[in-house]
Amino acid sequence: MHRNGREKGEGKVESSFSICDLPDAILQLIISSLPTKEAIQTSILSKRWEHLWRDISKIELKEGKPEERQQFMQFVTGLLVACNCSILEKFSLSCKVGKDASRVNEWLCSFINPKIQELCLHLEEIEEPLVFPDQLFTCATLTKFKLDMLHVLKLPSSVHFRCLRTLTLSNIILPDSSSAQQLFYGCPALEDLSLINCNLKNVRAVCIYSPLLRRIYIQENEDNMLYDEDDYEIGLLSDTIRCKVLIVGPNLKSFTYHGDGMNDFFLYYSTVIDASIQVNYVWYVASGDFTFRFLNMLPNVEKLSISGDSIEALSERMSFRLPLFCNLGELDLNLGKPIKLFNGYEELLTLLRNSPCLRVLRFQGAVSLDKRDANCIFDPLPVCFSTTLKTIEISGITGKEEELFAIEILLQAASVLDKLCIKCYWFSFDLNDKGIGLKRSEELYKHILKYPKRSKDCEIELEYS
Amino acid sequence: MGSPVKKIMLCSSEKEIFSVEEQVMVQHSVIINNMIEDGSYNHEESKIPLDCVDSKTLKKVIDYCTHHTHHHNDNQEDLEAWDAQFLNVDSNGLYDLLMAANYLEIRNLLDLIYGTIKNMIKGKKIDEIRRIFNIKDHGFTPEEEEQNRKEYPHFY
Repeated sequence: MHRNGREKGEGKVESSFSICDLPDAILQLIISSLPTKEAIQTSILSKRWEHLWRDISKIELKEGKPEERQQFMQFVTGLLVACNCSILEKFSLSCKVGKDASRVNEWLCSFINPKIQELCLHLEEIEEPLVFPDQLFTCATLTKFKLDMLHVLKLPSSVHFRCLRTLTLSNIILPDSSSAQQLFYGCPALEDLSLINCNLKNVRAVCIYSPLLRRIYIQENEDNMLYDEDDYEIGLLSDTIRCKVLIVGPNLKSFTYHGDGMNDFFLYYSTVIDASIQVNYVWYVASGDFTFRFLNMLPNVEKLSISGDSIEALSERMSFRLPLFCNLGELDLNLGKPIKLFNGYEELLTLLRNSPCLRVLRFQGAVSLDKRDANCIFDPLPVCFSTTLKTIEISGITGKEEELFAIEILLQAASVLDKLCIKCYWFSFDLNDKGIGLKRSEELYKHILKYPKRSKDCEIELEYS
Repeated sequence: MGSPVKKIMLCSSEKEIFSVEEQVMVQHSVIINNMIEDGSYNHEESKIPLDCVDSKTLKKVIDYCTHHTHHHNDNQEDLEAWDAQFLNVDSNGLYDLLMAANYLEIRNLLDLIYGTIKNMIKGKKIDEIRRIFNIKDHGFTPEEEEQNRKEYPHFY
C-alpha cells in the first residue's frame, strides 16, 4: 500500500500527496460526496479520473431556471446513459413534471434501483399520475425516503420497506383508508416520521404503529391542502373528512404538531418527553379542544414548546382540567404577538401551577402585564416559582410599560431564580439603525437591574442581536 | 467490574508494539472487532500485525479512537474542534491516515477524511484541483483538452 515516489526524510515537499494514488473505490466515495455537477466535472481532471465518476453512489438533481429546462432534461437523460445507475445508493430529484411525465417516469425507473438506500423526490406540477417502479415499495435497502408531490400517491398491492427509518411525506394525497394503512404497516422499522400538509380527507382512520418510532413531526396548513367547498359545514371542516390518526409508539420521544387542526391525532402509550404544539387559532372552541387533547396525551413531557395561539384557544375550554406535568422542566412559550401575561391566559397560569418541577421558562416574543391585573395573577403562586424555577428568558422586548411591569412582577414572584435573561433584537427597535436598538436595550437593562428581586442572587443578563 | 482493562497489541510496520484498550479498537475498527469476535485474536500471545501502517500513523489512529471512545458524550462543537485539530496534518499524513483508516475499517475516521478531501476539491477550478492533488500529467491530448474546455467552460 506504499505510494510510489515518496521520499524518506522529506522536509516540506509541497503537496506530494497525490490523490491519484488512492484506489478507485476510495476516489469514488470522495467524488460521490461532491455535488453531482462537480462530481461529473472531475472526469476532465485527468485520464485517470475520466470514468471514475460513472460509478458514483450519490446523485442529486435539481432543476434550475425555467428557461434552462431543456438543458436540464437533456443533462439528466444523458446522465442516465453515462452513469452506472445500478449501484446508486442515494438519489435526489427536484423538478417540475408538467408535460414530461413519461420522461420523468423513465428517470424514476432507471435511477431507483432495487438497492437504493436514500431517496428524495420533490416533484411539481404533476398533471397525470407518475409511475413509480413497483420494486421501490418493496425495497429492502431503503432507509430514508422523502416524497414531496401535490398528487395522489398510488400504491401497489404490496408495500414493505423493511429498513425504512426516516419517512417524510409532503403534500401528498392518500387515496383511501386501506392504502394509508398499507403504507404505515409496511414500515416496521420506522423511527422518524414527518407528515407535512398531507391530505387525509379520503382516509377515515389510520393507525401508525412502530416499536422503533422515536420522532413524529406533523404540519398541516389548511391553505396548502386543497380542500373543496363541500368539505366544510358552516365554516367548519366537516367531521366526515377528518381523519383519525392513531399513533402507537412505545418508544416515541419527540412529537411536534404545527397546524390548523385538520385531522385528529391520538397518541397511545405515549412516552413523549419533547413536544412542540402550535395549534393555529382558527376557531376558538375547536382549537381549544384540539390543544387540550394534545396536552392530555403528553403526561411525561419534559420539554414543551407551545404557541400563544394554542394557549389562547385553550382558555376557551376552561371547563377541562389540565393534567399535572410532573416531569416538565422546560416550557417555551412561542408568542406570535406580545401577550398580556395571564390576562385572558388563565390556562397559562394553570399550566404553570400544574408544572411543579419547572426549571426554565422562556417567553419567545414579548410578554406584558397590565397594572390592573397585577394583584390577581399570582394568587396562588405556582409552586415552581418558589422551588425549582431557576431561569427565565424573555426575548423580543422593546421597553413598553406593560412589558417592564411583567418583568418586575416575575422578578418579585420567583424566589429561587438564578438568572433572568433579556434578549433584545435590533429589528424590534429601528429597522434602519442597529445602534438605536443597542442604546435603547442598554437603557432598558439598566432600568431592569434596579427592580427589587425576591431572589437576591439572581443574575440579570442582556443579549442583543 | 473490577477486572483490569483488557488490552490488545498492535504492531506497526516498524515492528513497534502499541498496547491499546480492547474496547477502544473494537468500537471503532470493524476488522479488529471481527478478529476479537471470531476468536482469531489470542490475548496471551497475539499481536495484530499492521504491516502497512507506520508507527506515527498508528499512534494517530489510536489517539483518534481513544478520544472518540472517551469523549463521545462531549458536545458536537468540541468534538468537531478536536477533529479539525486532529486532521491538521500535511497531505502525506492525511494520505497515510486514510489508508490506515481504510485498512482497519474505521468508518467515522474515514468519513472525516473524505469530508476533508471533498472540501479541498469543492468549488475549485480545474487548475487549482490539479495543483492541489499534484496532477502534473493529465494525459489528455490537446484536442481532448480543447473539447473538455468547451464542454465545461465554468470549470476552467
